[in-house]
Amino acid sequence: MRARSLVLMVLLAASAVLAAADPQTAPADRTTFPWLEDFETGPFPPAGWDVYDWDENNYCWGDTQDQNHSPGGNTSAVHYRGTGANFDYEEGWLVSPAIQLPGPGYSLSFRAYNVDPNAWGQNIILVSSGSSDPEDGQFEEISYNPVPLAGDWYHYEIDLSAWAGLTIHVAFLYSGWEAHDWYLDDVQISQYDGIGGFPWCENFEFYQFPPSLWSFYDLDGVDGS
Amino acid sequence: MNSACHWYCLDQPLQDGWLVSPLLQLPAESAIEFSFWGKNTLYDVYGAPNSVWLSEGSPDPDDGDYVQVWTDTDGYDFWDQKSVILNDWAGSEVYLAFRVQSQSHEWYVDNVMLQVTGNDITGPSISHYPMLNTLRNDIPCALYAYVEDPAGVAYLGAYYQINQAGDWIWQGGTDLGGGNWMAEIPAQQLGTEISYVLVASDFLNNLTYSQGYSFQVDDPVWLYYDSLGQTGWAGWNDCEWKLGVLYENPLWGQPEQLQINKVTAAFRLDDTVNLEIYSTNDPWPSNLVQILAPQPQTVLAEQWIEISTPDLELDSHYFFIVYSGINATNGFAHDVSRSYPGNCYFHIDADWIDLANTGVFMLRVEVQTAGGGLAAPELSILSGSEGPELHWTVVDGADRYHVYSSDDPAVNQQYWGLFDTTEALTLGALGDAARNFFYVIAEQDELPTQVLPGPNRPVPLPFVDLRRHLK
Repeated sequence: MRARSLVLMVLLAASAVLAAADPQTAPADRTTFPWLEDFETGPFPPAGWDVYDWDENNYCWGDTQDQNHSPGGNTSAVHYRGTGANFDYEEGWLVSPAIQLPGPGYSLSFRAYNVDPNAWGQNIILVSSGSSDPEDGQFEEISYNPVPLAGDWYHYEIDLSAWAGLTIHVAFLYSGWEAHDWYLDDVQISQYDGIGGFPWCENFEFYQFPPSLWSFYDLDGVDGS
Repeated sequence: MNSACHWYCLDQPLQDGWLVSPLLQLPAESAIEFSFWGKNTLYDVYGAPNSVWLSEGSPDPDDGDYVQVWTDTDGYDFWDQKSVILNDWAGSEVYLAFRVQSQSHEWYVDNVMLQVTGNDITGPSISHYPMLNTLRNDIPCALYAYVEDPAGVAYLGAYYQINQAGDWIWQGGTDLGGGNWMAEIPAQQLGTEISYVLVASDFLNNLTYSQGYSFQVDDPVWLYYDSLGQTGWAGWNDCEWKLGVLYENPLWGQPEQLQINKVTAAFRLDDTVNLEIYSTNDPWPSNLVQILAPQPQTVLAEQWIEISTPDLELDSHYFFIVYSGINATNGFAHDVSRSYPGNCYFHIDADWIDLANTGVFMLRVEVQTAGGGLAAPELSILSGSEGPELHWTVVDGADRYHVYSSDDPAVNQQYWGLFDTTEALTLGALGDAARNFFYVIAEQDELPTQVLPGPNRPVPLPFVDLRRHLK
């Protein structure tokens, strides 16, 4: 309950955009696939990405060389946990550039590495086919706490067919109170041809069932399975 | 907070619910583990088993491409992690499915994970205690090994060769569970030397070859734990001490008794020590029954001595050979290239202390099936100037010969009389016994000692102070 109350307090506060894309200079929509962001080049956030620090406290999304998944690379994105001080609730958005999905059969995949995951933190993946600003309320969740496990770079993959033909932004939303550190790397959108990254985990935390890319068959024809 | 679940449905006796994963591209040449956490409610009415299936074709069960890769025969009401090794499908694209057929219990599934546990090019590790020489020509020679590999052990077997000639023959092994494997070389006739190499493979076709070993099937035969190569001397510096080496009776369970013929040893320094031998049915030095009282032996520094132990027979499961009264600072020939935990001990105060994995004492014993003893001389009767003369062949190790006589060859042996005892190989002047029947038995003195060629090493060998074992 405490964490939820803090969320509300932060939402009522004015949000801050640390780095917003300038419409005059922003790169064009991403239309070439596979599209990959490995956070290896340039300042952070990378060109076309936005970071929103809704809590305006200590940390927000940044880059780090503490952890890396990219082959030959040394950098990942990260949102660290709060300091533990009173009201040091952390809630930060990392929003992708506009990506124009050519059609069905495309998926979002990424690698995530969590340090000290616990009950007071959340990793949420969202998609907006409208505004890239979370304040506009057009993002919808597509995954919740996708990779709560620690100790390795877990692969996660989500079907984007529902947005086929649309231009979307993908957002990574960190929130937590004295929670975990979330490292993020190798964000990719490509034509889906199966899960090819391991370790891979499904923890059924998101409300959608079966989870994205899963299926179920009720051969007995009776509800309940 | 959430998991997947298949509910019970008592109204419908036939359930068949499938939860199918995304298409999974399993990497080639890798060890792959699929795992998940599971829990049942209503487990006390656990019905048709929960199962996991794999398809290399269609995700739709109706297409018939699935094979079962896991099942649970019992239910459980706690979260338990289950694991399925998918190495056989490395390089394939597969769907994995959780299938429920029971209408009476519920199955919760969570944290479904697929991970590559190894992209290794290393073969399994093989731990093996080399086969000792054996008297047994009537049973296969069982080679035991402990084999480990993160990718799983596909097989263990042995290549063997007879008398260092001919083809190497492959003999596949048996998985005994828990990493233990056994390969059997078929029974071999006496006088055979068998060379062998163990071979193990993991599921990624990474091979490991052990070093080469050899052993003999013969009667008599020498038993020893060392590699025939001395690496140093092991001893105790603070006080007089003992050492002991335990052997399993190779004839255990057979009607024949085991005869101990000889013991060889080498000490670092001149000394007077006692040889003792015990029988026991314990696989460690306890409940020892003395079968050879302490026999004082003078030993010379770095000289291999061979001590005969005539008429020493036993039928216990094990026997324990001891040298006692060893002076402080003296050492015994030691080989660190092999270890047989539980077989080589040193003794101080009141305890036998296992050398464990720190090498073996090079104490060797020659054994044979009882009843052999000294060979029988071949007797012949020739005409001499003073009548018949007895002549017999020399017997190795014999110190004298007993000549027995009887006028009736059919009477029991106890009624034959001792006619003479001699160290010669002939006997004449038979007198009134010239028309009798004769037999000759060779006899050997008690505990003869023979000095064998020494290690003859150009540099002093290291001395291992066994106090380190007590820390």
